[in-house]
Amino acid sequence: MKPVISVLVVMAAALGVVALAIAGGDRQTLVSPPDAVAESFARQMAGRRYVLGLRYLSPQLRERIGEEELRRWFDPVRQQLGVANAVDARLEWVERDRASATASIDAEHGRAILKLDMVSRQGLWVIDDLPADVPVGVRHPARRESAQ
Amino acid sequence: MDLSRIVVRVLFAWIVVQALLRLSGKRTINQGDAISFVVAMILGDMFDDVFWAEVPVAQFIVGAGTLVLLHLLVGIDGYRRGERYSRLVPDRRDAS
Repeated sequence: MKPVISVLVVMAAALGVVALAIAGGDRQTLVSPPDAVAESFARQMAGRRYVLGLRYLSPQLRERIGEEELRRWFDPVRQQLGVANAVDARLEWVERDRASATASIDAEHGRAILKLDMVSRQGLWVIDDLPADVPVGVRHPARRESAQ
Repeated sequence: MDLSRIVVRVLFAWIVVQALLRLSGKRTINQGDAISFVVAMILGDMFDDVFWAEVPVAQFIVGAGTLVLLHLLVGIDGYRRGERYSRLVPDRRDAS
């Protein structure tokens, strides 16, 4: 039984270190930074996995927005874009418990930019608000053909 | 993504897994049976998610710890129950 207790002790100690780091103000090292959250969210959106996208939203936002609302919000964008090729994100700014990150979805017919405002809840970054307008840069058909 | 943060995450995850495997009696890497191989594969996949910060480190600790714990408990239980259980959960001990 000693190894079992040892494993439990290691888990507790490691979780304690993480908790201390978060209490000490860590918001980007031992937790997913805002750009990683934005990228994961954009990946779920691009892949039409709206249910999985919900877990990146803040509890307040989840009260207002469900899977269907998320689908209605992003489906027009996705239809314009076509099949996604690459998803990327970059951190805009971080200030204590608030941050902003921009995710870009590079797809078959163009590129969409998602500017996401984030808030830290219990040490984890979650999306606080969804942009009403998602700018989509649609590639010119001639350029599209030459790219193929 | 900040490179220094990746170094910290890799180091932390490596230390946690080292501690988990060593304290659990190295069963995962020493035994060489099919289940141990699967556990090692899953652990390897979990590492990747932590490196690129796709999951918080706390989730990695709980996931990896639970996996090692489960593997350990199955091993202990199998050893106690003997041959009949070993037929159900194959182990390298049976090969000899």
